[in-house]
Amino acid sequence: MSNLRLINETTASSVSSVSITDVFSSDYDIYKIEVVGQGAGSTNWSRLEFLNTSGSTISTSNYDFAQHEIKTYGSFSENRTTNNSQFLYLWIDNDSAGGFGNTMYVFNPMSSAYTFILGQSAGEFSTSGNVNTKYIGALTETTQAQGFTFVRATGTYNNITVRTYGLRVDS
Amino acid sequence: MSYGYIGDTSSSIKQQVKNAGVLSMSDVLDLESKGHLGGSLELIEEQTFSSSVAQVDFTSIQESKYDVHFVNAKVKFGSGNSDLLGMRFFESGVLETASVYQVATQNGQSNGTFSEARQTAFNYIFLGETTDAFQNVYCYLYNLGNSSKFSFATFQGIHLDSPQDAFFRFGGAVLPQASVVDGIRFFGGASGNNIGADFNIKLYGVKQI
Repeated sequence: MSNLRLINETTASSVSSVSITDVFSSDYDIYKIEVVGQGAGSTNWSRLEFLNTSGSTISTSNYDFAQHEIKTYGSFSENRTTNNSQFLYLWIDNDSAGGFGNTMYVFNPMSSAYTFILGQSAGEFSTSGNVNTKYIGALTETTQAQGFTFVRATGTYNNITVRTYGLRVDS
Repeated sequence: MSYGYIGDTSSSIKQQVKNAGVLSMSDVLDLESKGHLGGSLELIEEQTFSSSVAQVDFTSIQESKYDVHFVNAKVKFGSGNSDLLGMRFFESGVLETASVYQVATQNGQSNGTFSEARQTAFNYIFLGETTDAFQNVYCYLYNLGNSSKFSFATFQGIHLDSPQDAFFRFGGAVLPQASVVDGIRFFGGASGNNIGADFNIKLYGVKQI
C-alpha cells in the first residue's frame, strides 16, 4: 500500500475558481494536489491562494513565487513575484487546446512554519503550443491554512477536478 | 474521523505499540466509497527483464479509471550506446509515430552547462538520455483516456553524462490531439538502441473516486 492518502476530490464546471476547504490538518505535514481540467474563453493562467481556518482567503501580501516557463515553441522564460496576494502563473490553458494537468506539493500548511509549495504543470497557450512550468512558492507568514482556492485569472473553467492527497506520517 | 476500535478502548488498556484500529464491514464500505481506504498510488503494471529489449509497451493502462498516471523508470542503454529514452502513445491501439508531439525540456549538467531543448513537431517525447549508467525518471501523464482533451506529460529525470557528470532534465510535452490514449511505449529514441537488461518501469494510477 502506498503512503499517499486521498483526502478530497472536487469537480466543478463553468466556474472561475474552485475552493477546497478543510483538507489540511494536523494529520499530515505534506500534501499532494493533482489538477486536471479545461479552461473556457481566452488563454489564461491559474493562480492559488490559501484559506485560513475560518475558510476565509489569506489575502495578505506575503506570497512569494518563482516559475520557469518551458515552452515548446520559443525561448524559455521566468516569472517571479514577491509580496503578492496570490501565487501566480501555475498553469496556462484555453478552451480550444485540450486542457491541462498540474501536480504540486504543499508543505506545512497547518504548522507554525511558513507554507511552501512546489509543482509542475503542462498546458497550452492559445494556438502557439505547449507550455510547461516548474514553480516554487512561499507564504511567508505563519497563519494556518486549512484549504486553498484555484483562481483563473479571467474567464472560467469548462471543467476542473482537484484531488488532494496526504503523505502518511508514522509516529 | 469516526473510525477506530470496535473493541475495548477503555483506559485500562496500556498499549505499547500504536494500533491501526479495527474496522467493521460498514466502516470499510463507507471508507472505500470515499476513496479513503488504502493507498492512493495504485500500481497498474511493473516491467523488468534480465536481458535487453527493443521496447517496453504498456497496453493495459486503465485509462478510463485514471485521469492522472505516474511512471517511474530506471533505464540504461549499455556501454557506448548513448540514446534518449523515448515515449510514444497508442491511440485506440495504434502507435502514434508521426511528428506530432510537442516537447520542451530544461537541461543542466554538474559541469556547469545548462541548455534548453524544444520541439513543436517531433515523433516522440524524449524523457532523458543515458548510456551505461541507469537513468531515473519520473513522469506524470494527464487526461490519457479523455477523448476531448489532449494528452499531457510533465517529467523530471537524472542521469550521468560522459564523462560521469550528473545531468538533469525536466520539462513537459503534449500529444496535441483530442484522442483516447490506451497504451504507452518506451524505447531508444535517438538511435534505436535496445533498452538494457535489468531496467525497471512502473506505471501507477493516482487514485480517484
